[in-house]
Amino acid sequence: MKVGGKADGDAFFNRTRERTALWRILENDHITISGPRRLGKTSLLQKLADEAEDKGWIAALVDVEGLGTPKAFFEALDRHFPDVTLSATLQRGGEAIRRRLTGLQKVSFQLPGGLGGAGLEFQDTKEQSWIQDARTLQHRLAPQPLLILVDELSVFLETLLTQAPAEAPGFLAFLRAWRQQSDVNCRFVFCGSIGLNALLERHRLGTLFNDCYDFRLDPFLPADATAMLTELLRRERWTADPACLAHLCHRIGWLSPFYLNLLLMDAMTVAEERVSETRAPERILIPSDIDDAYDRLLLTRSRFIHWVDRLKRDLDVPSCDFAMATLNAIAKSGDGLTKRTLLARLQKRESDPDRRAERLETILLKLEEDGYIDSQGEKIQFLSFLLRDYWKKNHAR
Amino acid sequence: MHGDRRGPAKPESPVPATLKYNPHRWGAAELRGIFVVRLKELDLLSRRLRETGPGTTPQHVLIVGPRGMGKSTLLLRLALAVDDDAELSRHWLPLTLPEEQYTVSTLAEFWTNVLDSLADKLETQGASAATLATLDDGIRRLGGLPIAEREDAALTLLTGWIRQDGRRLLLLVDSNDLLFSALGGSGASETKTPTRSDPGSGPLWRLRRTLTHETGLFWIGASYQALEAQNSYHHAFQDFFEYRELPPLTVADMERTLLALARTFGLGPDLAGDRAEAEMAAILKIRPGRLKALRTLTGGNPRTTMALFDLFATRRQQDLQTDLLALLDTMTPLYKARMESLAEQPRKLLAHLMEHWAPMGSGDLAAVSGIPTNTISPQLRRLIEDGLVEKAALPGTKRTGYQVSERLFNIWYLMRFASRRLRQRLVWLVEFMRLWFSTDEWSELAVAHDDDDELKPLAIQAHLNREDRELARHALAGLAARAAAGEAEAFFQLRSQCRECHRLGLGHDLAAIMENSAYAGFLLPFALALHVAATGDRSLMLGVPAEALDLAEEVLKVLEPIPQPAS
Repeated sequence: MKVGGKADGDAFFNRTRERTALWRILENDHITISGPRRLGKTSLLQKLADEAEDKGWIAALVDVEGLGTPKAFFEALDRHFPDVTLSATLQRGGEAIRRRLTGLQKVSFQLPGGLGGAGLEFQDTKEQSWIQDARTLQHRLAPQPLLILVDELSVFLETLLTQAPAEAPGFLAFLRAWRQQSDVNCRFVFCGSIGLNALLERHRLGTLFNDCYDFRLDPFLPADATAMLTELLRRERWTADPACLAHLCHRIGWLSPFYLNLLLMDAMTVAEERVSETRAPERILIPSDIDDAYDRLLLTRSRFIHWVDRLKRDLDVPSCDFAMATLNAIAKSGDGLTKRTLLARLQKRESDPDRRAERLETILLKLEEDGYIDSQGEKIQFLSFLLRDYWKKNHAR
Repeated sequence: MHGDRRGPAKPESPVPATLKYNPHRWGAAELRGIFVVRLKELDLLSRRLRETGPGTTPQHVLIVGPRGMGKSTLLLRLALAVDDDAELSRHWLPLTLPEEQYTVSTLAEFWTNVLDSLADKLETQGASAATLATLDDGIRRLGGLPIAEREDAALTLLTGWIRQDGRRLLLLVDSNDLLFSALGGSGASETKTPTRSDPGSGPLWRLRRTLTHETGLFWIGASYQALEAQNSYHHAFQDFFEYRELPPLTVADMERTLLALARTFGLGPDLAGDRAEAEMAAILKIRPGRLKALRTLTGGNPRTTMALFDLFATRRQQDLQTDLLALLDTMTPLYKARMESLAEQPRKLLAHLMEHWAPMGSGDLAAVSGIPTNTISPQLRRLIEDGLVEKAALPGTKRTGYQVSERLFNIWYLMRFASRRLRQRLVWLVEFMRLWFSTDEWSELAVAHDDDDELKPLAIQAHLNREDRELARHALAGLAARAAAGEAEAFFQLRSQCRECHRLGLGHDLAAIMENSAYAGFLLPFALALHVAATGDRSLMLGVPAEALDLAEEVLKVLEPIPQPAS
């Protein structure tokens, strides 16, 4: 059972619909997998990497967290697609790869003179010394049926924007040009644990990354969540009736595999203690185990403090205060607020109605991208009921 | 009882002092012999290893608990369990990375340390000279590389060995939070609010990347805290580890530990093995309340349970006050060294927290210490990282308080350095404990009281019922004075009167006069329990010493719930 690590092998569940859709889209488009944290995006990338050869692709998952320069980024890509491995794979490639190779048109490879409409000139200056190696890499990889799965792009960009912000537009523009190259055969799939769109918007770089298909990853459906929980319980030699599992899902609210597993794991610990104390004969999970585990999780302050810290880190003081007030209002409401009601509640923070609406839009984008809230439905509410209840208890007054 | 009084001279301990606090010095047989608690945690971690199939990434784990809770011992025992199991050892090679990785400040250094540990382990397993020479040569060549290349080269050497050998590495990392703090750069951990420009964020993200995708490494770390806030590294490892918190030992756990220590180390030159265990069982049976009281004082800390072994091994039936002094004497070298290793300001802050003997907010701490608040916060963070201080709830506010994390350490300080008034509070609390847990005396007194109505005193509840608070105060004062001096009969009557007053709905009134009594320190557990039982409001328990809390919980068990009127 994974509670934070990448789910691979038999720890990976479901996402059948999503994978079918992604393979279909990849025939023609590059993809950005978006969605809040803890939905299993990295695990999904790994699954795509595992399935790629059967679909006719040579894939590698390139995790770029901890890297901070374009040079390091392209070196990582280079390492994950070494020539010798590609040649060998293409030669011995299975039916799917042979089919894809047959279908590929000969690529007349031309390097772009300018960049994707961004109006930037691409010059090999001392400040952008990575460009030549990146061009060589592009020349080598673009014609191949490669699936380049880039994980934690947003973390990489955040570091780059902090340490060498002048390089960021050129880097993004280069990648865009690569993707938009005519007859490019490789495909990119990007994802990251922090909101890519909000990050790009904040730095006015959104136009350099708007050519990928935005695939929004959703939480599990109830049936999928129940199936996963049932199997995990079986592996741990526990059982639970459907009503108990439904209760677990109800308490979690937003069915992210991480939160489902977290609550299940703690519930089993609580149940283990109960069974040991009462000498109950059977290992059956009951709703009170789930409720007790939920309460225990709420007390684990370290699980939640980073949600507050992130706001203080990413936003200036007035914006942070506004974000906190927004979250406080939503937490107090229980089942969420309409935008209209939320605007009314924030009147004291910003008296000018137009300015208030504008600030709220900006904050909601940030909060949604970073996994705090869901504002797609009629009401704006916390994604995670655990986070909502923690927030209500510790911040909302 | 004075702060400079020493306990009786103790005979030589069956367990040498060098072994007591150093689980790394125990032999395999000793470790197997005395590891009788935390079996559930050992079993869980072993299962995790078995279930992590080849080619899949593990769910990395962080064992969390205050100092002395047995984290290092658990890691060592797990390493032994892997070596002992034919199936596990075929797939996993445990490497124990020592607690004090003082020299590590970069990932390159860390991976090089891991390689050195690997070479050491292979040597103990009898690897061929050629194998060791190849590895040693690889490690040596790392030093000749440009600094910027060493990290990747070290990791490549390590993962190359894993691919070639077929076994995966179980990295048992003690003091995980100190290591992460060092890798993150000490400057990063000093900032109040983490910033995106934290210089140390790169290495931690790279480590996270490695642990996320490298199937040959399973990380099980030990930490004082669950990667708490105000440290930049927690962003890289946010929601990354499975946390396993080590709870305090129960009385039954402590008993099992003492029996295992007797069996493993003996109780003297002529008493070993099963006979020593039987003798220890007999000693524990004489006064079962003694261990319960000591558990309250030590907070169920395994390290201090080791120190308790000496007390019981002497076979002397001492009173609790003498037990406490003897225990504190045993712990003095460790606690003294701990205080002296701190710089002046953190030592001062720790001393103030100890003197307060209850959770304290940073504002109050600033006021009493004279240290500015903005200086206190990073010092407190460091004390938390070192496992000396923990966060705690404060009454009546959502702000966080701080308290000393190891109870006996706090008590040691109070007995040695605190004022007479404060020491008196502690002495009273210890006396309360002794009386409360002297269950063998209760039954005699209960029988005597049932048999003879004339033994029943004028009841405090009778005075309170008639709203004669002055008489109630007077009656209470007499009883409290006698009970605080150690008279079991008086304590028994106090206990009975609490139950009776609570039953009659006079619990609040009795608690109020207890709180205003000259013996308020002695009566604190009764007063707390009466308030909570009457209102159901457990937040009333906040802001008091942990020992008093435990005793109040014991009192609560004997106060029956007040029946609610039918609506």
